[in-house]
Amino acid sequence: MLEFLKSWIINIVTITIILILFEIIMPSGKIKKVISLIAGFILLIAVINPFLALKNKNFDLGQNVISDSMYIDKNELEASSKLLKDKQMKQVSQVYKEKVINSIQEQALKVDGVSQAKADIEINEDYSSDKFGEITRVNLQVKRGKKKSDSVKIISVMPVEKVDISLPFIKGKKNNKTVEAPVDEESKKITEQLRQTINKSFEIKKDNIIVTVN
Amino acid sequence: MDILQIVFIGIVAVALSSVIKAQKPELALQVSIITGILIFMLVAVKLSAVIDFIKTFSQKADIDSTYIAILLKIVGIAYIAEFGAEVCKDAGESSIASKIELAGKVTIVVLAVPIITSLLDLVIKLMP
Repeated sequence: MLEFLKSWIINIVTITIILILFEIIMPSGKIKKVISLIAGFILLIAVINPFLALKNKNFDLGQNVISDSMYIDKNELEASSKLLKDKQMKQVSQVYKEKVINSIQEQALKVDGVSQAKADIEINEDYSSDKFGEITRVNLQVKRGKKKSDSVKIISVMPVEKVDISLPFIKGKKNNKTVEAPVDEESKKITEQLRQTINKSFEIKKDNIIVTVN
Repeated sequence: MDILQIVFIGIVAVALSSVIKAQKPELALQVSIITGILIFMLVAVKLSAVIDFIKTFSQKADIDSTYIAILLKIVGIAYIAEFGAEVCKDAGESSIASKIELAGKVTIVVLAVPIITSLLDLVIKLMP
């Protein structure tokens, strides 16, 4: 019992002296109060700890501190990894979007009568859902015309019909109608072909594919 | 002798800073920061000796090294946070200084959480 009391008192005195030393070297700011509080806690632990030995219960402060700080670190890591995951997923979906846009444009250029294509897509960006990455909408703008490779083979310039601007307005409108009809049909054909190609290659519903032909 | 050195560095820096302030006030802050770091480094060498002494002292008295390790970390954080806050206050940015102090306090409390939980565990175990 005497031995226990002796070691206990030595322990308390040493910790008190160390805490006083720390208090001297502590910076004299607003943080001093917080440090004093923690120093008080440590002294309290040192005072109470030996009583557990009397009750035949083991208490290892080191182990406790390690497990608690592990728990805090784990939570911190989880929070920061979640942030990182968000950022990473955004980058991944951006890269994916660019790749899909490129391949849609390539597919569109393969269709006859398309010289230029510009695509824009909307995808499901909610990475927690099962349908993450699903293409929800495609906007495709294409320009009609012969491809570059074909344009080299131009032999002669198509003759232009004589345009009479002195004709009355109604007559002109009639003329326009007759000229425009086959052009519309061609763009319809291109639109349908593009829709079919994109539908087949990317499995997107035809209703979600919007094609504009210029 | 070292205190003479430190005080001399401080006085020279003050003189320099007051001269520069009249010509180029934006450089005066940099002078004060560099002086602060210089003095801090000179003191840190001495502080490490004190810390070594405390460590051996605690080992002799058979004190759990976890207490000392946590306390040392806390004092280090407090020093760094105070240094940053003082520099900000010198530059007239007291709001940033208070934010640095807050960050220091939060970090210290995070470090102290294991101690507080240990204390609670200890009390609970002592109960009959």
